[in-house]
Amino acid sequence: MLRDLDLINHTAHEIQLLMNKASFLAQQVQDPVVRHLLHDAARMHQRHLATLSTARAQLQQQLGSTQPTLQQLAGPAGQSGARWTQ
Amino acid sequence: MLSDKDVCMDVVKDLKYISFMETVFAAEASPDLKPLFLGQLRDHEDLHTQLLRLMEQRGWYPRVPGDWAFNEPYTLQGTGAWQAPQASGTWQPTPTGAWQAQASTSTTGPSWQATQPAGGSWQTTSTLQALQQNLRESR
Repeated sequence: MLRDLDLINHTAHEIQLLMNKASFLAQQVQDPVVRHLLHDAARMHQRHLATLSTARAQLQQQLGSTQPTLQQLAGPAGQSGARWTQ
Repeated sequence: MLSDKDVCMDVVKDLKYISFMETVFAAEASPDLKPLFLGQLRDHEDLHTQLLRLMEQRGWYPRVPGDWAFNEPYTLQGTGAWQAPQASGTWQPTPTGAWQAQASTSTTGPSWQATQPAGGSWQTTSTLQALQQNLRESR
């Protein structure tokens, strides 16, 4: 799950960059067909970002319910080392 | 100031990168998340296809038909002198060189057709037969 979250975060970061870039380039080009295609690309990236955001929220919710708290990680008083019992 | 062609070439590179990344991530993700990456990969490849078609129509991304080399591995008449059409905004289906292939000038778009030699068979066949005969005789 943590790996999934990392994959989603990385993809969302890249897609955010591409969406900004597509929006910027759409204003720069002269050809209306290319401009239309770039606008489509920006919208598609935006849709993908929304999907990734939903998936990330679900994953974080699942992780939040199963992730050990700091107290659990620290263990009972007087005992050193972390325990992954939860 | 980037030209439209430069912008398109840059976007093609971005799409190649993001497609590669999503392919790797789809393989790496858990089964629940795999469809998400594959779906996005498909969207990006559809966009990639649209962009390449648009660029090809404008002569910005000329493609040489791969089956020339496939059909005639030994009889390529050209000496590497094939020249891509100039990117002048319109497609110019007039390659130069001595390839045994001719560009169609139909109005439906660029299409390519290899010309068969007058003998009725590819020279490749006779070349291969000669090689096989030589191999048999040398044994």
